[in-house]
Amino acid sequence: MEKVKTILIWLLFVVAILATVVAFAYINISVIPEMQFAKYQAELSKTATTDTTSVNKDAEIKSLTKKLDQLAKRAQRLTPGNAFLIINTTNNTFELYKNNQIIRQGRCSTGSFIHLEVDSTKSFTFETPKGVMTVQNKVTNPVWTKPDWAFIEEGLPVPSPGHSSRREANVLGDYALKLGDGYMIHGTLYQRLIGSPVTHGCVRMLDDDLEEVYKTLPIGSKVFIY
Amino acid sequence: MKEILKKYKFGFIAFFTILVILIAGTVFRYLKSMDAVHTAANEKLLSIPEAEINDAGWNIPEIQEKKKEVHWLERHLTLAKSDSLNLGINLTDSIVQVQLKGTVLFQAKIQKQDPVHFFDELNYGTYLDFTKIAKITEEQASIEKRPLKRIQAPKNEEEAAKIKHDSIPDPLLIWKFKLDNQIEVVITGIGLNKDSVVDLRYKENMLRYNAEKIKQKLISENYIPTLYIWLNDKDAKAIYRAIPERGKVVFRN
Repeated sequence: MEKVKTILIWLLFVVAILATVVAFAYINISVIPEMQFAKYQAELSKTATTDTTSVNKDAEIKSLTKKLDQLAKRAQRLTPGNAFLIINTTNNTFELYKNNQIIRQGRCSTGSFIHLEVDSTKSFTFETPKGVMTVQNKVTNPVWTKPDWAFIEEGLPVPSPGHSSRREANVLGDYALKLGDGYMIHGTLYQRLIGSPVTHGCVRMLDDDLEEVYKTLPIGSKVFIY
Repeated sequence: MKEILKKYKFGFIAFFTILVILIAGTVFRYLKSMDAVHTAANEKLLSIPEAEINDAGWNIPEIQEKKKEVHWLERHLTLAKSDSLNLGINLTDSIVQVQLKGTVLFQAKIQKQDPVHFFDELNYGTYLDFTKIAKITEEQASIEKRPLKRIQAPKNEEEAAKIKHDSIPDPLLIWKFKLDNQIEVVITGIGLNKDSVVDLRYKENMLRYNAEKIKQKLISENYIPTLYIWLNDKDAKAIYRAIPERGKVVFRN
């Protein structure tokens, strides 16, 4: 019995020491950083003047309100007017805006981020560029002119430019909106892959979504990609 | 009593020695930490014109509110001149947004923030400094900004057919960045647990982040205030991948 009591008391010492260490670790890890921030914020909020009698409150508010109105008008002018498209390349989604209202949103597919290495001097990165692009041209029943990578990734020999094997109809859907540098918004035969990052840099959409985007965005519309 | 003290002398000595060491260490750390805060605050205040620090109108709530709105719009318009995607952290409305050319492309609701009141009480001068357009100077993240998958071009059709495009899901995002106005931001993605319920591990994350800092330097002579933000992981990743390296950030509070 005495032996058990001794063991229990020693155990109590161990527990007390561990509890003390944990308590001090918590103070160091959690409490001190909080106190640091509180002190920092307090020091940065200090000011020599608290007297506001010298301030012409009404005049200052009037002047600030006027300035705010002007700034708000300028900010308003920055938003693209009629219609624009926003594409999220991480989540592979899109939002179509008209008159500053979302009129359609859904899934799309963007670049796969595959870096295809041909040899030490040649490689292709299938990435959808981020930034703002413009709809430069719109076509119906687009025909795909296959670039070199389309053959390389299939393990096929690359034909000469303009060769008939480069032209392939009925693979880009019913519509295409050209964004420049070979990038397009178009349809696909592989509808089940929409929502995944599987393209070579273009933006693929489901047929119905593509039709609405095509009909809503005139040439010159902005396409924001992030 | 005397007997107990005698019998467990070593136990008492060990306990009190450890207690004294911990108290001494913590007091020393506390004093050094507060010194670092004081130095950092002084340096900041010295870099700001006194007239701005002591702007009297700032003490009137209606004027303060209007001025904050004016500055937010001014920064927004300045950023709109740039061709780069930039980040807006609006603590007033608990929103993080990606902007380009004056258009808000994406916004995510802040699910949790620590400190809860991050710089909501500043004098006018330090407020201007806090909300100026800042540039990311250092950053690190748990995922790649550009998740490139390297593939060797196949030599023939047979080889091409063998290429698999499996992708491993990314871990939850932890994105830490420092700004040139001496503020650090840590954005953490919130995932779903095995029952598909939102799994916010705020306390666990905070303990880990603070412990990491102590591990890096037990007693730091520099102090940088850190804002911790928790966002839905999908939103957090979209924002992280949208903002270019050395991107620009603007706060509103």
